[in-house]
Amino acid sequence: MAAITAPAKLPPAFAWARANLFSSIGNGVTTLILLYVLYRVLSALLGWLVFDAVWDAPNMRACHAAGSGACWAFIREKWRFILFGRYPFQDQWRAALVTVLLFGLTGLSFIPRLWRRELLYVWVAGIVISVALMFGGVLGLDYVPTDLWSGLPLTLILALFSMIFAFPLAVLLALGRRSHLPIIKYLCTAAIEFMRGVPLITMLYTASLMLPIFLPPGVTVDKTLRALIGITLFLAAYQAEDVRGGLQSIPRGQFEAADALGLGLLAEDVQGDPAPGDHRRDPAAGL
Amino acid sequence: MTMSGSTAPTGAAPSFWNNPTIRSAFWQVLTLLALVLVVWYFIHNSLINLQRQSIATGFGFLGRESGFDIGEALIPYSPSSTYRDAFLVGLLNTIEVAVLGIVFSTIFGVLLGIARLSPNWLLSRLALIYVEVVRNIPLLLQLLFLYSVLNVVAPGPRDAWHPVPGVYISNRGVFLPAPTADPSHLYIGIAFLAGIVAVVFLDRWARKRQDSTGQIFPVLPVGTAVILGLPILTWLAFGAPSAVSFPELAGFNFNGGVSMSPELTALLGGLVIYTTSYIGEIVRSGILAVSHGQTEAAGALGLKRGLILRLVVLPQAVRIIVPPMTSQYLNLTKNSTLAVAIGFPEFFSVVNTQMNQTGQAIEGMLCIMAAYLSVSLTISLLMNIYNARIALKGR
Repeated sequence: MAAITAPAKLPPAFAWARANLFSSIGNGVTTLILLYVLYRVLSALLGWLVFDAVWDAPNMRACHAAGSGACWAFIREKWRFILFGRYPFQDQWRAALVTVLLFGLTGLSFIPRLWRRELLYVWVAGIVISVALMFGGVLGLDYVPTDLWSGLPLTLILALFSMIFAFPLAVLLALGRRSHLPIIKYLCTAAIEFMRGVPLITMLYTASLMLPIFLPPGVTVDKTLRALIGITLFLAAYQAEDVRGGLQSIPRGQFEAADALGLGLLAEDVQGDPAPGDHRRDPAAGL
Repeated sequence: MTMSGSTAPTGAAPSFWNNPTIRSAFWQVLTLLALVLVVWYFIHNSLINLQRQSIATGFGFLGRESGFDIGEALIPYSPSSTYRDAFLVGLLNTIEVAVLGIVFSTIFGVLLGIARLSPNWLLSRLALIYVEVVRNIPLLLQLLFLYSVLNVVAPGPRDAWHPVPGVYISNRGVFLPAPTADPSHLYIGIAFLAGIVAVVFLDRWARKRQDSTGQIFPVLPVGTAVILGLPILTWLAFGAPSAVSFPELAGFNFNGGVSMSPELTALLGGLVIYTTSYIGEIVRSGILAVSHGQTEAAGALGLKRGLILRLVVLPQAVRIIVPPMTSQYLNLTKNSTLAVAIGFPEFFSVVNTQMNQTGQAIEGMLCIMAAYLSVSLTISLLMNIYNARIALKGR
């Protein structure tokens, strides 16, 4: 009887490629086509980004004359304007500090070990410092009006503050939509569906064009604040549906049990059993 | 489930303030009153403000001459047309972008979702990179990038990019070959629709027959043959008119074929690229959500792979996919307003021009809200009807 020899053992990398890239004829052809496409795209991209790019040029014309690739000299020349826009040049370190601070706080909040009450205090302190730095007018810093805020720090501030303001509003809207009082229920439903049904840019236009018309003559609202109001309302409508989804995922029995204990509506939804259960489901949807 | 009043001891009537009916009526009346007051205050202020700035009110402007031109119009339009016509042009452009965008992003999204699940490591990783890169860059930035590529970086018509024979990309837009207009096209279209209707009836009949006799009718190959065959037969019956018009350089631009302006190309391309990444993830999650046990059970029953996919996995996956897909369709429609940044004349940018010309911002915003709400609600309605048809029917 002839001895059966074990098949020659393939090197691990080869075995992996065979299993994942060339498991069948169709698969192998796909891999080869993709590799070719990838090579073409990457070589074109790298050529434009790196090899044909111009790193140093006195002006735009020289930049275009010097090479056919990206003009990094432009970015080098304008990076401060790109990042901070019209914020006063000599005070841009303040905007930079705010950016770093807000990014840092967000980064810290990703670490579950730090999810304690102290983190909240750190956030409050961070926000107070950020606002003070951006506005100035205290501690000998020059006052910078919000019209001059722009660039990355403004993006971060709008995003952060709209999230902070939108969440409580979203919870109220969601509770209102689940209310047993018909008028409150229909008003909240209408508000949510309306804001979700129109584009964000409409909300921004409404806030910036209509607010001055709606307020008494002479009363003006800061432009940045108007944008913040528009974004907040829009975000609140979206988050309200996430919160409602979270509330709906709680078995009805829990609400009935809370009722039987004699808890009122607010106690029931906010302090009682359902909400703590709800918050565990919520954050994922909130993203 | 009633509120706090339900815990009142039986027998004793609840006091006035604890009577649930009175309490709920009180809060509702209070809310309504507050709302009416706020709205009245806003209207009062706006009347004063508009009078001070001597801005007209009402929708009278709709009948007046608009005085501005629109680059792309699906219906006849000139600067001497009314604002009503201008709005209609914008609305049609929005609907055009929405419909084309939804069709293309659905097709590419399904392909992307399947690619993400491919056993081919390279393919699934590239699909993952696509999703993560595209989803994490703001759509506005992508639109501006595409538009600047087409408008600034792309060469003039004389040395247009020419990736495939017959296709030209220049700063005047994208030019594609198209069949020369022929009267037979109408009948080919009718034959195609007739084929679809016939197959729907064929499918019903086949199901009924399978239910009663157990015999399986090959609906898929026969249906494909009918849907493709009828238009081809019609085409042959008309003597197979096969003239194709290719775009050709004439003077400073191209003649012939079909063309898409840089604005429309950038908007449609950007929306499709962006929405595809979301739809791909929705499709992937839908397919993954069908439990593996179902596939195994179907396999144990002796169904072939194709049949397992068609009869067991896909029907259940579609149920999970449809509701989030509806949201994406709505998002695409609403995101088309970003065209205001690249100058494609969809509804929002047309109304924006009107608001700048007449100063009647309130009326303009009302038109915008009404238009987008109706488009959104129409899409929702259609998708909800479809969803109700495929939803799990509890017995």
